[in-house]
Amino acid sequence: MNSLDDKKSSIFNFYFFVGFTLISASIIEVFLNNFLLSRLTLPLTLMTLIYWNVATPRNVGFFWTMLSGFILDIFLGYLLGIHVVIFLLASYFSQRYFHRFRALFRLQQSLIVAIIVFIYQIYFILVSNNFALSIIFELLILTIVSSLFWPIIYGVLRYLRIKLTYGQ
Amino acid sequence: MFGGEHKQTDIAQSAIFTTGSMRASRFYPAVIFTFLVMYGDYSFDLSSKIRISSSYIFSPFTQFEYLAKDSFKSFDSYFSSQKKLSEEIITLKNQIRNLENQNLVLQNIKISLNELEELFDLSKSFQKREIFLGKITDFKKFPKELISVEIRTNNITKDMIAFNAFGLIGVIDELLTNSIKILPLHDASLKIPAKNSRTLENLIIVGTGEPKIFQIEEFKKNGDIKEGDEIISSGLGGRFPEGFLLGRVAIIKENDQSNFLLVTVKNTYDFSFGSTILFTKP
Repeated sequence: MNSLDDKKSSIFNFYFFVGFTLISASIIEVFLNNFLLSRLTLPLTLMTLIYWNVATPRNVGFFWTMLSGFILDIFLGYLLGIHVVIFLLASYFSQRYFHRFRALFRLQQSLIVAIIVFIYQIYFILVSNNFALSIIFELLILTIVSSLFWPIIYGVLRYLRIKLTYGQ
Repeated sequence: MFGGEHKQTDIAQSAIFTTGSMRASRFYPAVIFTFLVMYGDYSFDLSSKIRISSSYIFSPFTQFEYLAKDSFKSFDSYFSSQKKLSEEIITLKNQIRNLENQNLVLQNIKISLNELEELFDLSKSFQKREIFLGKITDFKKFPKELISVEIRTNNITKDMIAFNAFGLIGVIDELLTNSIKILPLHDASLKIPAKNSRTLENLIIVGTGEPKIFQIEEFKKNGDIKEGDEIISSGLGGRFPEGFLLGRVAIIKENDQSNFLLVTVKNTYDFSFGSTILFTKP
């Protein structure tokens, strides 16, 4: 009885911890957007979302995905649901192909993440009708920076997940 | 060494055709819901209302940045304004010092001008006599009282006498190339022919060596003299000009063993006064 309660509590905590990291990433992304003064942002939320969907696909539902997407839409001034759609797609494909993604080397994962970020940024360029030559530079820089950030995000979240799950 | 890589490759090979348990049927409701929200936002501008509400809710956090900036600015301006004030005080103090110096200079100029005015008034009494001006450069008390005066003319001769703004003050003791040394009237070696302006009796007054104090030489006991009598120069002998006030009788003393009175004359002249000396022939 006791062990069952402990297990439930652990899953419950883990579910909220995922939500907490996603919302934290969204808030950091909003602050970074204000700080960087660029038209595109460093997609920390997207990368966090990919990590959780790849690492624990069964524990991550669409609720936190949608909530973090709505937060970004509200604070970055987009039409409600713009971020949510792309996050849902990212979640869907991450959960669908997480076996393959996990099996890749970290460098290969970074490359995949870079491609996803590239598509994600192009989506926002299209949505916001922000076609300019200078934005290509931002697009490339942010894609490269995001791919460099992936091992860090992966490492930090993995460490936290292990800490929370196994307590060591 | 490459064991880990082989294992990783094996896993990748086995995983490449594996897909997760995620089915599209789970994905569609969320997407439909999102599209509904998008449509609602597009039609009713929901996001603006949410943004306004959230801005009210999160205003303490969003305003914190401005609050911190304002606090820092006021903190900074407090110290910078204090610094500015202290700098301004120092500048003003310097200005006050400069003004005080200027004031002193102007006061000196005023005194000099007054002195010159007095001297020119005095010079009117000399009528056709030539006058020369000199600048006091030094004042000595030892071994004997002397004033050094700088001159820019060679026309001054040793028989000339010296005046300052008060009047007659001395005679030329030494005549050098560009300067003159003046001996004061109260020098013990000087004898000045004078007269009592009340009785018109001729007298000889001699210096005592003390400033402003003279004595009448050999004044007989039966002579007519009172304290307060004006003693003026008589002009006899041609060494000193006639009619200049030398002083007033201050003390009259009688000595039983002598036939003469000891009469002390005091004047109010200051030998060392001023900066300019006027020379003329008597």
